[in-house]
Amino acid sequence: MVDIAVSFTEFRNLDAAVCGQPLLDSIVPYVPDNIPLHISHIRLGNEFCERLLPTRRQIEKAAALADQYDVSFALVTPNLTDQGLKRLQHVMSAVPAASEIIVNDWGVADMLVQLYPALSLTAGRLLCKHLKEPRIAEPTVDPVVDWPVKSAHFRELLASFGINRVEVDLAPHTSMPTAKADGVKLTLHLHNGYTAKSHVCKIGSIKQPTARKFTPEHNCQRECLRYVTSVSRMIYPSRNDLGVFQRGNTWFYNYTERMNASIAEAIRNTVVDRTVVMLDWHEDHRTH
Amino acid sequence: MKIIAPISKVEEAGVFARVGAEELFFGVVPNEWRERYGRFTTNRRGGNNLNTLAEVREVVSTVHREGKRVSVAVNGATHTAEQVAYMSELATELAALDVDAFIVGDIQLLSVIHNLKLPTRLHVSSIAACRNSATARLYYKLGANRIILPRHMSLREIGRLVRAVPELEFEVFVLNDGCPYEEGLCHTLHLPTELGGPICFESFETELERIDGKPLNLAEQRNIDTNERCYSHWRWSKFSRGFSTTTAGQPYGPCGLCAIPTLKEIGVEYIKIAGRDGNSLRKRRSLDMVREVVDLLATENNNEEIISFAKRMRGEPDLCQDGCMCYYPEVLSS
Repeated sequence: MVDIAVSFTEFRNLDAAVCGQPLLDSIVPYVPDNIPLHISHIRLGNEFCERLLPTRRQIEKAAALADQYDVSFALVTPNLTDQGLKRLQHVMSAVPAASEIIVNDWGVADMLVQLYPALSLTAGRLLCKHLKEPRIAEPTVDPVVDWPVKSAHFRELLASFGINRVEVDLAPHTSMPTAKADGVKLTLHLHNGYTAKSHVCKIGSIKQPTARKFTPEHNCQRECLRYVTSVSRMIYPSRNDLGVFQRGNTWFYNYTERMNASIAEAIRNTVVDRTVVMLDWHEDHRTH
Repeated sequence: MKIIAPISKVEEAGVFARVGAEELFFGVVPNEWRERYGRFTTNRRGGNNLNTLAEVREVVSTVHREGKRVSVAVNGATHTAEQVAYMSELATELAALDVDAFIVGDIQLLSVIHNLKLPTRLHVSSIAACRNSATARLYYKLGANRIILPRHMSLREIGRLVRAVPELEFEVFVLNDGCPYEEGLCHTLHLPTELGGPICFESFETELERIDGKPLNLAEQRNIDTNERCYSHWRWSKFSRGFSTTTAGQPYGPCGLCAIPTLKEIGVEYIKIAGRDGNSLRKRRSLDMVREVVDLLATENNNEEIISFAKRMRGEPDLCQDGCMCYYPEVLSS
């Protein structure tokens, strides 16, 4: 049995999901090898763009839904500009005291640990950096490619913020580790991993005048919520290429069967004790 | 304002220090590191690094004779425990050579080097993607003296940050080496050309779909096609219009020369020329261009004159019109 956090970027999708088929049924296709699972968290927010930070009202409603389902609530936060920090401070009062915050910005971690010491912080995958090259799909024996949690220095840094859980992706060219990391729990993202994000946004520039396209502080219309882009290599295609797609400002790669088998084994060995499925932020999500 | 310029060869150091750089930066990848970790370098550059401590010693000595400073980029985005131990030893050796600063990209390495209590200053690399005052203050607590801000920040955002954390120095990009992504949050490799090269250069076929399953309407398709064409042009511009130069050897974009007066007004003291991988002529011409604008700033009070001068420098003022080469395109519309 593995804990699973069900993650939504948009509240309306969370709301629709709990009103539709049982939530568990929506998750099963993304869980490898029919591993028994238990929904432990409902999460709201996005790791990749501050313009997707939920409102106070949405946070309150999502937390109430989590309460109704008797699961924990988690707020997902991205890396932020100073304007984003202000918005986060504004919505934080809507976050129930026992919630978990997924932080993807060291400054946010430092700020929250000072202002809200009762909250539980998890280091998101933007803080847990490692090589994830989707164009190298085959596993290679390369000891240098490793999750930073293997480093005692990184764990000490996490401990200084009271963080004892980190989120990771599985890189296409590595296998899951077979041993737990000392003192740090692992949450693994299922189904896909992210490989690169930008700060300026291509899709968010669609309706911008030419001079305002691909610039910071853009005034997008959240086109990332309306479109998804599949990507395939033109000049160097390989039969091993992973499925790659762009959502918003970020590139993702889908896990292969081999990777999913490796994940299933890591779950059985309890190397990973929690997983995440982003139900409305992948290439298959359709609202119709 | 102080100009920070790149070098990749010992012989560039003296010349660049004499003709206007206040601080020179470079990477160093000892052969021992290369043997242990192969393509993973101390600073994300496969080539164009110094290879021995003897070379570093020579550069430091030359640059210090000119009264200028030297910083060493040790700005890998992340390190294993073994690599952190290696880098600690390397930092200690470099400090003994009187290097003035380390440019660090990995927060754990910053913390470890700070705890070594070396006399060397700590500059946080743009790789660390510091975009807000809370993160800047945290880096200050961890020993940072300066933050090198990432690309894709507006002048307004930079101004807010500089004002919010006056205890830190700030350095920003003003010339060369664009990156369409968030450099510190791109986890791909710059593969060999025959395998695709950097992911940001590679050509991909893309298919955009609506999430609601509806077909794209004509207006949507038109906007998307226009956006795609603009993006291709923007990306090409960000890669220095196909890594080319003017006939005089001046590099094309990315460029923030016309923003230098505003940067000074908002309190940025250090301006960075990127491009360690460029040849010596490209680096020299880059330095000349920035130096000319900074020198003019010292004598000219009218910012419009300085902006106009900056736009004319390449002899092709039309280049600046679409903003695609610009680090700070808002200057064009101000």
